[in-house]
Amino acid sequence: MTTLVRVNTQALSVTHVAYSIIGIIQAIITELGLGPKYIHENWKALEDGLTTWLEEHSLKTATMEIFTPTDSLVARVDLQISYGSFLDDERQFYSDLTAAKLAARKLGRIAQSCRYRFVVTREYWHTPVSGWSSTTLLSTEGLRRRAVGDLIGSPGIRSDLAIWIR
Amino acid sequence: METERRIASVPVRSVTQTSDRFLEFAAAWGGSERIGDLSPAAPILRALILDRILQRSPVVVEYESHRLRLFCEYEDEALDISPEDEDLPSRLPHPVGGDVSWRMVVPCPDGLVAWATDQAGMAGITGWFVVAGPDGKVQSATRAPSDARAEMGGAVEIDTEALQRLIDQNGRR
Repeated sequence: MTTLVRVNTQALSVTHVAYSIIGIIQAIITELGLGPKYIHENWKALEDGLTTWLEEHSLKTATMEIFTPTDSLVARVDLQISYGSFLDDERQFYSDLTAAKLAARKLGRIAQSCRYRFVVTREYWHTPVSGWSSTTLLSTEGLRRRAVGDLIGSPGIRSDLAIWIR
Repeated sequence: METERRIASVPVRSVTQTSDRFLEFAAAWGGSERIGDLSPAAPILRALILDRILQRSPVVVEYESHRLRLFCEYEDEALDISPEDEDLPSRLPHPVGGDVSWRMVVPCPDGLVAWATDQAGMAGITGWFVVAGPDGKVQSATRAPSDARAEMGGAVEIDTEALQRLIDQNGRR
């Protein structure tokens, strides 16, 4: 019985955190006026990748980079993932979209010519998922990191948001 | 007649499964025998499910005088949804071989309304799929899909908020 409950809680945590990550990214880009086209064009890769890597605990960070047409980073959003047992909170599952939208305003005015992309960091032993390719994060030179806080929570996985701004 | 259902989303269902559930309801009450006919609406529904607007503003499936209001629940509230809350309502008696006039009205927040309207236009689902803005006003996909694509290619963009601010400022002078 305990095993069944744990398995179920783990599956619920994975679903909750995977879609909360995508939801927070969508909330931020919508707030910035950039539009969700990229997310929905890459939907299958995003949901398959995030759920697979959260399930096997290989996902370390989910990052959104906002950059100019010349690939210069103008802002960055990091969702740092923590695995563990977080059972003693009032609410089992939460995702703070309001805090994400407030954080988006701190990113400043983003030119509509900017684009964004989703980049993840994983443990070296992660399962490969179709639709993803290797890349290098853009330089954060000239940007400073600001912690926003714990925005996504579930009994088995949590995520903290940090932003990089000028 | 007005019927209401609450659909459990994340973490009980994935966003894709939630969107499929909305389309099952629409197929049951709307005019389509095949859910595949409705699937071009899925990306827009997924964006709205992620946005959580459907927690407070329902998707409304309308057929003649019948209205089915569909809300979405998340997190701990989703875990409390019972199977009865989500029962598919009885299929409405559509006239066999006749024109079935039904529509699915989806509420859109400010930041998604332009994208959703364009998306609906490009998917060719403007007949039965209706995007409503935050003020409840129906948005129409006035541009042909090719025009919408051309705009995304980097044509002129109008900052409507800035324009409104200018109009307001001039009005005050």
